[in-house]
Amino acid sequence: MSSKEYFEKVAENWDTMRGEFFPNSLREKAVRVAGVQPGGVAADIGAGSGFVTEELLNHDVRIIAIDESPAMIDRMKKKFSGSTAIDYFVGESEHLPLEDRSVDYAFANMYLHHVEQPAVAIREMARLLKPGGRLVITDLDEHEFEFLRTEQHDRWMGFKREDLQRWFEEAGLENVKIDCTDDNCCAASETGQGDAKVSIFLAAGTKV
Amino acid sequence: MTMLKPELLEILCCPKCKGDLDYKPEQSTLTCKGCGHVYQVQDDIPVMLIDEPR
Repeated sequence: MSSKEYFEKVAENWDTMRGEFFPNSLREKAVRVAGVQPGGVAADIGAGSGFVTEELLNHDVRIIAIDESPAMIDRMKKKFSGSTAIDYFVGESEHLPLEDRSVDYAFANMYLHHVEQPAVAIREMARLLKPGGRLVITDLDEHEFEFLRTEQHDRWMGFKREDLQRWFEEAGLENVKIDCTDDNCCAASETGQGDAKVSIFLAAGTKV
Repeated sequence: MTMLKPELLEILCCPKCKGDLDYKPEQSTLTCKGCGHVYQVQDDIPVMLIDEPR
């Protein structure tokens, strides 16, 4: 099963599952570090069922939600049906359907480890940003829990922070900072391979 | 059918070649003016995948 097929399958239950994997405080940190101001445009990339979007709705911005799974986008659209601030696309991060310099903020929460080529995805996300715009990625530090790959269809077993630093800089971002969020991603194996607890980093950079 | 918003069409581009798109609401399609790739709009959601079967 591919990552995309997995998320098509779990879309309906994702909000419950997600709540067990990582806490709401994570999105508040991401939006705070981005320095989101009212009136801006924010892209939520790998939006899932709208974890980051839900926080962005409190900040009076236009939101562009992109996910590879039509089932996830459908679910998100139903969930936020009362909001006119959100536009939706089915799309993937290595080939984003938005013009250069079209958004003020780009977020990718717990998405990078599902992407085939993370460095390419980061370059694409940085491309969308206006000068001074901020990219904020929250994802897993490098880990050794193989079952996250076999059971939850992760592609990458987390990331080394020095790789992140390099990918951000190569994408034309400056003031690159990678910090601990003090949050963990917790998951239990369905096949008795134990419990995973993996620290979550927050990587941010500013478009030159 | 709802029309896609003009401010959205302004920043939307072809994911493959980044060309501008020609929106045909009556056919629910977005066609790239550069490479000619056709993207479907399904339930008001543009499906901007390069290898999506048509």
